[in-house]
Amino acid sequence: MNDYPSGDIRINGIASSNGGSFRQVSIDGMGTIHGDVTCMEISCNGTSKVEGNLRSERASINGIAKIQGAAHADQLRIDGKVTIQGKLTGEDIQVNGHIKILGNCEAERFESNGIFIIQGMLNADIIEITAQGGCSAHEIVGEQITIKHAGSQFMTKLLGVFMNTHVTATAIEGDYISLEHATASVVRGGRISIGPDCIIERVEYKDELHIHPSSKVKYHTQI
Amino acid sequence: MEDSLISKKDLLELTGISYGQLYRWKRKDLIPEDWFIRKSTFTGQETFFPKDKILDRIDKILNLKDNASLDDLADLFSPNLTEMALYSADLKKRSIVSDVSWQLLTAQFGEAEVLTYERLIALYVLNQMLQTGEMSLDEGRILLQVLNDHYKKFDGKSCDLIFIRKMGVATFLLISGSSEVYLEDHAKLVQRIALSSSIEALKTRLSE
Repeated sequence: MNDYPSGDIRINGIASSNGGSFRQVSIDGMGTIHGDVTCMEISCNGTSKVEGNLRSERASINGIAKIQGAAHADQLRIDGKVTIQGKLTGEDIQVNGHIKILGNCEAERFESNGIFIIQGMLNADIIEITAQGGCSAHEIVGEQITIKHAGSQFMTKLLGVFMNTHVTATAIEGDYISLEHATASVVRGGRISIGPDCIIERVEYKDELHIHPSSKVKYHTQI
Repeated sequence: MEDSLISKKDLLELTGISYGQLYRWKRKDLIPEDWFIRKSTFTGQETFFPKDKILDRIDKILNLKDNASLDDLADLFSPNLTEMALYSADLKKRSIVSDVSWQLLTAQFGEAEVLTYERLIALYVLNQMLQTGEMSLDEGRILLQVLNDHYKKFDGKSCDLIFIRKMGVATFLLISGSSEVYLEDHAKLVQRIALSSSIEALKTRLSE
């Protein structure tokens, strides 16, 4: 357990602060932090920008946030729109809004009910994705990967006319994989269940494979 | 220096570990990021690993994981030297230091299966000095003793090692980094080594 100094940052309105080590950081309004921040708890409700790395035990972001370095949070909840230019690491990450990560995303548990765009690898023990729009990651890897389809068929179909609502990845690899509504070049794993509406070039499985008739799998092989 | 590579698929089959384990270890930094080599193959993109390194690492993790937490293992494998201990056998195999320096160290401090950080630096500096040809083996013993007794006192701060010889008698000094030193006329400053640069050199050798 880290020791945190008793100092807090509290921004209500428009302000900026230097980085450093704090107990609590809360931004309600427009806040910029110049430099790296280490804190026990951070909450952002407005427009926030961290010009450096962020490290926190608990983080909740409800507005728009931009982190110009890497971010680590043991517990992270995103209900707004976040851009992270480095990598994101954490224990428990929950995304209900929109997240864009330019690096990798690593966690013990990653849950998404929103939209994510991860340019690197998404790596977590348990990955649960309920796709609400066009999500993408270069690779999705982990032990247990579940990609579900959100909401009513009608709305997604309607949305699908205008935009791609699939979860897209070059490769999805895990021990237990269950997919719906996903596009991937390769899916590799132990037990794989491919549900409705998937487009997959190649599936390599070890123990078990189910393919829903409405999915397109070009090639599959047991290894 | 192209090592032979092993694909992820073959690796998992060979070692019997699961995707979950592999990626958990990667998250815990037990397997360095740059060992994941992405290449496109006719079946799409595949990940490859340097074969010998990864097999060796996984073997160690599997052997040690029952007795140590993953975080402890991460420290063991960390490239950060201050938190690192190294297996003697490993070091010998990589031939980072010569056999002569190795014998000198074991003669002085006895055989050890795991080398601590201080020993590692002492060994490396010894090797470095012996290779210049300006230091004899006997003097090497003094060097080891000095580093063993006093290096810790600098507590990670930068320090220089000074090797002086006067009329055939050698002595070593450890001084804090970049201090000025003046000697009498008859004494000869044989060598001055910044230990921080030796550590850097050692790190790069180890990460190769």
